[in-house]
Amino acid sequence: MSVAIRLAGCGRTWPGGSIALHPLDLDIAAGETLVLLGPSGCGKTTLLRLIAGLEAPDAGGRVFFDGEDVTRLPIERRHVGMVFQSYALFPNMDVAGNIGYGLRVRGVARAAARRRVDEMLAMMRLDGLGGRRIEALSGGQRQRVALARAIAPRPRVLLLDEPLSALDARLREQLRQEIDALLRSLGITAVYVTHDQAEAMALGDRIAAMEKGRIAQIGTGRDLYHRPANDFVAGFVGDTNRLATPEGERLVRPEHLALRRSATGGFTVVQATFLGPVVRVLLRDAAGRELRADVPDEDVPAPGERVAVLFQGRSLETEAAASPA
Amino acid sequence: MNWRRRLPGWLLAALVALPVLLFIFWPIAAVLGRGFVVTGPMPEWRLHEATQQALALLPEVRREAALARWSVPRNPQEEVEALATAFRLAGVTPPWDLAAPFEAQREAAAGARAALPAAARARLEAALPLAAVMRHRRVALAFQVRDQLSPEAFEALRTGEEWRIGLDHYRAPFDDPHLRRAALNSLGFALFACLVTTPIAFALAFAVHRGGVRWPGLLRAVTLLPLVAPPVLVASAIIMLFGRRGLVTDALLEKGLGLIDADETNIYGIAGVLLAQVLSFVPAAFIVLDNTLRRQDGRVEEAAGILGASRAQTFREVTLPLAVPGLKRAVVLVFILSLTDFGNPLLLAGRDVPVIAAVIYDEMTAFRNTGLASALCVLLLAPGLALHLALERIGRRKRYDTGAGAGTAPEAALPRAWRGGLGALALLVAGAILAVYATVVAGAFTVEWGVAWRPTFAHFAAAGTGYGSSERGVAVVWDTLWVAALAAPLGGTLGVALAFVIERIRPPGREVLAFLALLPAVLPGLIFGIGYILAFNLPFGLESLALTGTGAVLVLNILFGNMFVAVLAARASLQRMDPAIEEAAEGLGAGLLRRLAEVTLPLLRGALLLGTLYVFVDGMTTLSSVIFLVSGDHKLASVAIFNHAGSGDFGQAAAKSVVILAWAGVAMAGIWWLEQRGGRRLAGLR
Amino acid sequence: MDGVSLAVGAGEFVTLLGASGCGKTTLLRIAAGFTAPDGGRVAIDGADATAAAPAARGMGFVFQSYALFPTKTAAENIGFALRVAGRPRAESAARVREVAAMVAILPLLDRYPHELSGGQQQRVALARAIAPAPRMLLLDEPLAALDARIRHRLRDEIRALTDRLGMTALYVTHDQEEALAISDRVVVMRDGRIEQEAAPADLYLRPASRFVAEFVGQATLLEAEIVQGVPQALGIAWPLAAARADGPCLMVLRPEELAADPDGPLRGIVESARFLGAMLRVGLVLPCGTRIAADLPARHLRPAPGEALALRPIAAPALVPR
Repeated sequence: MSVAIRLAGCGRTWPGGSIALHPLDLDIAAGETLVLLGPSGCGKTTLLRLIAGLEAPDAGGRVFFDGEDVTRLPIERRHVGMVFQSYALFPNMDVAGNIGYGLRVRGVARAAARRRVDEMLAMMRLDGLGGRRIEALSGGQRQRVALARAIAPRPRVLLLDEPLSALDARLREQLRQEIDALLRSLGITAVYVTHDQAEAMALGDRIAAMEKGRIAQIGTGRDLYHRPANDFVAGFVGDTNRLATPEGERLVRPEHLALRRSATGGFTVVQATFLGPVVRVLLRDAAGRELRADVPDEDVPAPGERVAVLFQGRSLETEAAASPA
Repeated sequence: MNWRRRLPGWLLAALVALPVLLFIFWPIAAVLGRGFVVTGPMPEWRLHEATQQALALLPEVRREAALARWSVPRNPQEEVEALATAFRLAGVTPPWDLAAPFEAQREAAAGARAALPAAARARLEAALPLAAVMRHRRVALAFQVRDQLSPEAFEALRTGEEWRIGLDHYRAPFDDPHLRRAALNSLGFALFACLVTTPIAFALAFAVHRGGVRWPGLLRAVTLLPLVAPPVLVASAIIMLFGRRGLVTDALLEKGLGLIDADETNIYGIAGVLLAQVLSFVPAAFIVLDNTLRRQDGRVEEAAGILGASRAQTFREVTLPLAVPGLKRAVVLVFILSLTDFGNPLLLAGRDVPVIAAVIYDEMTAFRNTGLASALCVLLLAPGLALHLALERIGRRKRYDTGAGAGTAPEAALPRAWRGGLGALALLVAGAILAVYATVVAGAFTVEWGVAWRPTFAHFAAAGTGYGSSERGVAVVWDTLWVAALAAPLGGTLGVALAFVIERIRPPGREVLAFLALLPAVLPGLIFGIGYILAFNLPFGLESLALTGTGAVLVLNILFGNMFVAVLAARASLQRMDPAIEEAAEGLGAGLLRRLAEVTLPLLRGALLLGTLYVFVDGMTTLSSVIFLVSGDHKLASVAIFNHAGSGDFGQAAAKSVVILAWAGVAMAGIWWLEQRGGRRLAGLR
Repeated sequence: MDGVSLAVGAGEFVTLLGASGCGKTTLLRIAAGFTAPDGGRVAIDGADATAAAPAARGMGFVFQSYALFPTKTAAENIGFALRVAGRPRAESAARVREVAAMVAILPLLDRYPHELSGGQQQRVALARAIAPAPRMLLLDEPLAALDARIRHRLRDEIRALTDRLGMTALYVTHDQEEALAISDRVVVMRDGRIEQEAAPADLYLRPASRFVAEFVGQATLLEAEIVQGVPQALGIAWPLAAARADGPCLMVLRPEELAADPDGPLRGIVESARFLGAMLRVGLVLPCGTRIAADLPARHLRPAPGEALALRPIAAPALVPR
């Protein structure tokens, strides 16, 4: 039973006076996964904790779950599930004890609780680890236990605070897919905090890009990628080039540029780096301005060669102002 | 409904804060205040008034009878003194020699009396009975009208003394040459102790952490051994080895080799005190520096190494500067420990080399000058505080934590020369410590050390005989055991509860609470002892609440005097704990009490066990805070040991010490076992 | 670690890539001289350096936790090596400024480490390592503690720096994307051994084993068989990159190697369609139950879950032994 979340005029000021979050409004649909994306200190974790009930908004701010005002409810009464960056598992209990804690606190009958714990162990591919101690688990296993513990009491909302940042890149990708599948199958409303735009794209139905305590833009991945509201968002969700075209200045993504060898081309290849799926080519014109282009790994011009850069079929003139972000 | 959520927390805070205020703040404040109270003899005219008022309280008939009876002098001295006072009351200076023998004075006084003019003589005759009472019968008078007088008036009349607020006591060390000498001696010892002990402790800690010795765990254990020492253990052992009838000086060098005369060449004096203090305080400094080095990130030293710094340069540029906060703390700690040490100086230097701490002891026990003792106690704090503030100015802008990676040691081994030097030092210190314990154990089984070298078990007899027999015998240790065993769990629990209140409930004034809990650690034990007498002798003037002379006051003193270890350990655990753990429990629906019981407290188990152990062990061995609190009904082994050592009765002292050590060992083993049982599952705290 | 041999040429940028515990950091520390190998040799420019102290090897080291000296300013940190070598003060100061400018932290020289952000601290660590002009730079996961965005920026800067100074570099990371982006050669490690050693393109396009194929880049591994020189998988024939003997193998299918084509031979139902920015990652379920992932240009396609979709291979997938 997932809920829709609404924030009205929620801000947060630290006791010292500095502003963590400017008052904002936010609507999250039931069953939606919203990703809060931004650099350290942008306020994304603060916003998550406001929704959770670990912190209270400044006077005038309100939080609603399905229309019910929960602003005054502390976290233990909001019935949310939370996954922390450091997992925060209870070292004095074993895996089953951790997963079942939320059920025990709410007074669920022992038999029913045990069934639910077994269900979670299976769902998270932790079969047979119920009696294991926490310190005997690997990082990936701990994260799964943290997820299981959060989901076991069937919360209305799932909140995740950079749950994968402590893991190796490979493990991160693996778990990212698992979390994506999990969120989709549970159909639960989820808010996910991260600083990694690839993660945001992979997991979010919608993404809220945040900077310095404000939401710079909120929309689907496509919205942010193709129609960024400002330079910050443009630069955060991917690399961009800024081109001056006859229609005016526009932001162009590297994959939308093509290269053609030309002795009279306006650009020289500075560097071509193999990234796997594509090759990233760094180009420079006579005036020293730089462009980045992503091209398939087929007959890529080598450093020093002169090329013409094509955008939407047309070759760019050298007065194209460029600024890789 | 925010306040309702907070209520249990506030209640707990109040429950914990109240005893702290009552049993730590109040006694210490009492000592502070007592130093300003100066008592002295009343001036004659006021004494006259008081006597007159008291006499007026007697019913008419009894008064006449009493006056008549009391005016009769019982001997020439009384007669002369009463006459002299009467003269003064009449406004005439006594015209005879007041220093002459009393018979001579008697004659002269009679002559002077006769020679007075009529008016003056009339005044004299009128004043004489009162003068007689005033000088010699005041005590009887006071007891007769006792129930009609307030307690203060009764005391004043009885003793003839009055009190006023003044700085006399605080000025005493500057005015009195004897106290001046003692103060300089104290400072001298303290300076030497901290300057010698700290580098030694640092070298040992460095050896333990950087692989300078082959068995670091063993070295650490031996270095910490003196912490579990009954009082004046080190001093006793030193005397037993190097005193006038010491094993080395007397038996070996004099009688065996004929090299020296042990009565002339021995360890008594300044050298003995210094040696005893260094050996006694190395463990305390070691703990601080051990902790400091443990927290350093070994990678920083590797970084220095690969940037070209030699081992010596790395030590100078990186290791030492990073250890500065720990070094500062160790220096101040040893300074304070030395300044407040009275056992070692008393035993090893006696009154030839007076120190303030011993002076305080004398003032309390011999002269009952509580005011002066209190003031000296407070003055004793000043140098330590000054040193602390002076050192604080060093390195204020810098930070010393190296962030992530703390606790890893660099892999490279120390150069061989370093390892040799450190190994030698470790051998020396460890050898000295082990020698101390071995000597004491040997002494426990020797009939009379230095005189009769035969083995015996007599010192372990439960009851004692002979002089001071109420303290002789090992039965005294049982009393100590009960007191310590009662105080320990209470102290540990209260300490952990206080730490929780400070770190998690965070009421206003929590820093003050933390400071108060820590105060007994930095104050000399003497202050705490005197404070308890002042505060609980007649609390609020109500005798029924008086605690002195009971066992309760001993338990309370030990409890609150040592609670700080539990507080420190629990605070450290709580600060290290990932706050997200408690938030996670909160998120899963657990309220405050539930969180406390199921999540937070299990993680504080280690701190609780450590705190309890410390109260127990220190309770068994503490001396300075309880030395004034023991009474006929309630004795403590530590005080008995001190007395035995002072009178040269080393067999008794050693036997009791051995028993205490055995019990301390049992306690430590017990705590270690408890820790192992539940501790393993708490290993993954990070 | 077990019997590992590695050669790094002058001026090369080599990365040790692997998961936690694979031995890459241990190898780096042996090269630096912090850890002694149980057996074997370390040679620098041909000369045996196995017993040489770290300071004598002429290397700079950047630690994962930065390991800056907390009681010294940034300038004092950077100038440390010069100072302990006894260089004259004016010369050291000039060099400190030179290096600080290279890593863009000139205005921060008077700050203490705790007054700097993570990225700034890492630059100071870098500057400190290169100040004494070492011939080689060793870096132990220097960017692991930083935000993704800063990581992307700094890794390019590090590579640019070593190029500019002509320095040989040995770099350790667990992030394969990072390794591909900045290395001349990548050494993939696993359980204390080297799995494969190759240039980024070779590693990606021609992985030697299943482990490398899965570790580097995205891939779906399919059971395949080479029949008469043509790879067969999922019931269709695939293009072949290099000649290979007949027999069973595994096909490393990367998402960018498929394109949408209404006449394509791979037909299935769309399970998920995730917008990744430059591409749309489509998860397709084939009738046999196998799931494959394809990256399709995001501009014009919007396949919805449940729709039918047809794909065809547009490149020759790598093949590895089973």
